[in-house]
Amino acid sequence: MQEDFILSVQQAEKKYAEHIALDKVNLQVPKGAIYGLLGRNGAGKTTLIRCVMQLLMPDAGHLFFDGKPLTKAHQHLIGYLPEEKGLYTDMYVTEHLLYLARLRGMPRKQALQIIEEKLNAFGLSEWAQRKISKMSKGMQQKVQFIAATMHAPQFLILDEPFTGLDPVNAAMMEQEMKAFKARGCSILFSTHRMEQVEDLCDGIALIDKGKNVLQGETNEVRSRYGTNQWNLAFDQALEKEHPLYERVQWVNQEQHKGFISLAPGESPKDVLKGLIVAQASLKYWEERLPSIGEIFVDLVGKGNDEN
Amino acid sequence: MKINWNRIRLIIAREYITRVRTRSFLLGTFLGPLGMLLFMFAFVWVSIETKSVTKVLVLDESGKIQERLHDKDYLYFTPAKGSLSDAKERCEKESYDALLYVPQCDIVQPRGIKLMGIHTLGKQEKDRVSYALDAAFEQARLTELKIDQVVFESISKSVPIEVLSKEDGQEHIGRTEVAYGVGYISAMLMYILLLTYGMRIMNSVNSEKSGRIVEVMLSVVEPFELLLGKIVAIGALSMTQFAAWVFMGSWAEIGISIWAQSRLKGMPMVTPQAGMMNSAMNTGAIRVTELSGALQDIHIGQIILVVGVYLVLGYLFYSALFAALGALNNDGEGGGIPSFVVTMPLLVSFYISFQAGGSPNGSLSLWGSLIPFSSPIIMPTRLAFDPPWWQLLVSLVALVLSIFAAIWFAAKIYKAGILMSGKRITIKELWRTFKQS
Repeated sequence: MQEDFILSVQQAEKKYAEHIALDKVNLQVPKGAIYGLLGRNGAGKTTLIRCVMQLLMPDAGHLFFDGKPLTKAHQHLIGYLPEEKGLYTDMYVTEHLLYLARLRGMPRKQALQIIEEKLNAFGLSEWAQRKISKMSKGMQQKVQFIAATMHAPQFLILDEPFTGLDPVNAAMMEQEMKAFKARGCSILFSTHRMEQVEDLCDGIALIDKGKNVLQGETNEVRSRYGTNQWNLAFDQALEKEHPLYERVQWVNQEQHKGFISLAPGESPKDVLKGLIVAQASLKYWEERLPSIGEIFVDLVGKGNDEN
Repeated sequence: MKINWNRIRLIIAREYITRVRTRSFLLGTFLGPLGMLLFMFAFVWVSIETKSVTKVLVLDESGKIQERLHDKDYLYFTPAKGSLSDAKERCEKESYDALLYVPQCDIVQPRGIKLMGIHTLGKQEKDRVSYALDAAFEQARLTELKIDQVVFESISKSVPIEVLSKEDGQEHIGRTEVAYGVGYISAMLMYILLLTYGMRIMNSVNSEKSGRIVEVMLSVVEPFELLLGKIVAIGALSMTQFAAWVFMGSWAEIGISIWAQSRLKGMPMVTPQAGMMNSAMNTGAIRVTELSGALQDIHIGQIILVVGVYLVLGYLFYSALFAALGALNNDGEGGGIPSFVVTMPLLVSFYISFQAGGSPNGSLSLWGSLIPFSSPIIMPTRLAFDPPWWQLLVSLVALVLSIFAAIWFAAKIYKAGILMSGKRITIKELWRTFKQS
């Protein structure tokens, strides 16, 4: 079972003097998956990432990499992109990348070749011999991404990789992430941008106040938090006298589209039956699942209310 | 922990190169000394040109002092007549700085002398008047007591004493002052360099901490490697700067000597003033010869070598502690561990070095030169006084062992502290992380 996951965190605990950063946190990142790590600021995401990067030692719990206990030897198989400021801005672009590659033990010639290829791929070749401090935030983020990936890691940890990127570069970053996944690389990334979670992530884990709130495959999580709401559309307008007319929240009156909220326990089959009996021209019927963003706000908001 | 020396080499190269090519380093190295010279010149010029004149009105009811007060170096005395209130009025009207009142009194044991300033007199002003008054009373007393000036001067002469010390069966002459001077210069140099270089390390670590590059670095290298690389690189950088200053200073000295000699050669020595100058130069030459003899006598070459060794070892020891301090403080957020924790031992050592110069074999000097926190400053102070070789050996061994301990300790603190950002670091929290790292 452990072998199915590139990363497995079991019952990880980390305390600071007055603050519990991780409270028996579990996390399983399947091999070849893009996994989203969600949570508010201060939820414990960075502490968890630092434990995985072995920058911090958890007070309790176990971490496994590819089924084996995580050790320093695994570090060269992991690529890490911190949120920002993860660069020596007083260095030149190629110089910085070469420095990190050489520290990882890469031969100079090979490293220079990879750096040239990557800079070309990211449209940064003109910046190769310029200082990092002169680059925009988005460009710096791309250099960070190259630094994190140029040693072809098996597992990539990206902390807010879309920070500072415009839509074009954000799309490029998404493509790169998908390309890495296609090559068999697993990715764990933290983000606040929920629309990207649904687009990119095969699975998600949500932590809040150092505790697991939910975890699972993205679609399964959305289904789990379904609230018995159904999208529907008709070819022709539903008669106003129909008992369901008032219950439908019409999103688009002209196209006769809307959704209906059923009471807990109320069967969608019974509703469908009623529509068929009334000979309504139903053309579309699908469960309306909450977005990850709605689930996030719902769960974290509840946590807030309890406080 | 397996140390990768190739990574340390790469870290040293990066830390050195990225600093040495900065504009601030180049400016500091090449224009810094020039700026310092200009500043010193400006300071001397201002202190000469802006020397304030002190005008003192003197009401001498004894009739024996006023005539013996002599104007000197912008201090001018003007006699007054009449009553004290008249003199006070005149003092204010004619903008004198002070009124010196000498009543009818016993010249040998005077009472009731007053110096009344129009404004609050500065210490220097007060001292200058006081010296002039002492000299005037001395002259008056000699007259009063009918003591011949020549007799008095011959009685007052200080007794010359020749200080000898025996070493290797040979007697050595007159080296105490020279040894004290060499010791004092060594201590001052060590204090300034250790503090400056240490602060440089601390700021470097602290600025790295404010970014998140340190997370990337620590995921690739060991904290010990990063710390050692940084310490060696900044040490090398400081040495580069120091060497550049010595090089420039040597050329400047040669240039000035050549210029001064060419000026003196062309100067005819026929006037009495020139004769005095010749005499002064000869006296100076004799003093320089004595000094160079004394310097040879105290093995200045060996002292420079050992001071150099202590500088390198002291730098390694203190830079590790400063680096730990830099890792514990959050940039610009205050709090953390105050820097005096590390600067205080340096400062205390510097003060003890005065004692070490005065009493080089006292117990404070002895222990100060053996304990690694103070030995880089105090042992160089004692070197000119030839401490026993075993003390030097114990001091060096203790310092070398302490360097390993300090770097080990600093690496742990560094790892524990470098990732603690955004909040005040408590001792309790630090201890927990220290134990784990």
